[in-house]
Amino acid sequence: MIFRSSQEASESLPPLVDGVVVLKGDMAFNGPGVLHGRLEGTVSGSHALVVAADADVRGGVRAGALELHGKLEGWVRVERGVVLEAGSELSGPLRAGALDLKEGAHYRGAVTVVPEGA
Amino acid sequence: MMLRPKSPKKVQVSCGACGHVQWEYEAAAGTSCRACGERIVMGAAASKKPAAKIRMKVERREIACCHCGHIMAVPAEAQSWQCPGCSSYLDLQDHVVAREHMTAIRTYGRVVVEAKGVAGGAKLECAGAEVAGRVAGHLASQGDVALRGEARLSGGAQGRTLEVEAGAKAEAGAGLDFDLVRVKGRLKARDIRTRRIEVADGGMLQAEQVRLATLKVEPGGWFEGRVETVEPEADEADAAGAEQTGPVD
Repeated sequence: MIFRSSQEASESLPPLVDGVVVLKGDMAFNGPGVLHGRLEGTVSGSHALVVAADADVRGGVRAGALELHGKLEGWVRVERGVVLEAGSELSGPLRAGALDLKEGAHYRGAVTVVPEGA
Repeated sequence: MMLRPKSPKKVQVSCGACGHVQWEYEAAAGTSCRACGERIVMGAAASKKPAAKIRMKVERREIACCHCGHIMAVPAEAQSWQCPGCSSYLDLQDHVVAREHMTAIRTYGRVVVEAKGVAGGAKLECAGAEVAGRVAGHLASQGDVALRGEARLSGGAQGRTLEVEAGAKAEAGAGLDFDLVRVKGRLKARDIRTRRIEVADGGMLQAEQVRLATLKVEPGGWFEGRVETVEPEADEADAAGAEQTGPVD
């Protein structure tokens, strides 16, 4: 887990996209954040990103670390670790430095996990 | 006048189990109760102290007959057994395959396939296995399977836990079906169906297709393959349907 709890993450991190917003296009973030709402496009940054349970992302994610609670359809490229929490849904190619796919998470796609810097 | 031989003297004896009283020759050492069939000891033998029984605590293990499913407890040290349910011969021995062994192995013991060993039979059924050589047929283990060295599982395998030991460079040419797959060395496989995969730091797993419920790749571990999660409940139901209680027919 990137944060001590998802509740803590939701409360302490600035929301990148709010729950009621539907965003189309690409966005970048330059600090750790939580993504709510719907995004059609890519989100990229080098910090930790939490995709909240109410989030629905269609496109791709590039981040330093990723914790997925919601839905993500598209590619994922993460430098460090990816955590797919129970109830999350991810479909698409995933490349990361480490992976923790928990029981109850749904995933379908090609996985490549290689140590950082390899 | 005819002389009749004198009949031996009779005495009354009572059954210790049911109390039935019957007449028996006095000189008899024992008889059976005509009411309940219990053995009645008579005469001098009755007053004799029975020899002290030597009781040894024998460690046992439970197995299920692969022919009829009868469950029995067999001494852990036994090398073979006869099923009380269907009278089939059951091999309980551990086997070591050090060279080429071209017939199928079906045992309730463990099997070790050494680095130069080839288990060439169509099937290898056992309680557990350690493979450093090659298994040509299907390996069905009721317990754990450890892969070391350059282990080759050409015919696929099934069991409880598959452990790829650190330093191993193993390959599986057909499907692997285990509850847990733990990778500390290298494993190249075609299809894997499991509940959980753990790839440790330094471990490497390459698989064409993986169906699982959970996956953990530690930092420093390598993983490559197409992954599809399956519902644990559905997985368990399938596993229960395919569950084997003994070496597989």
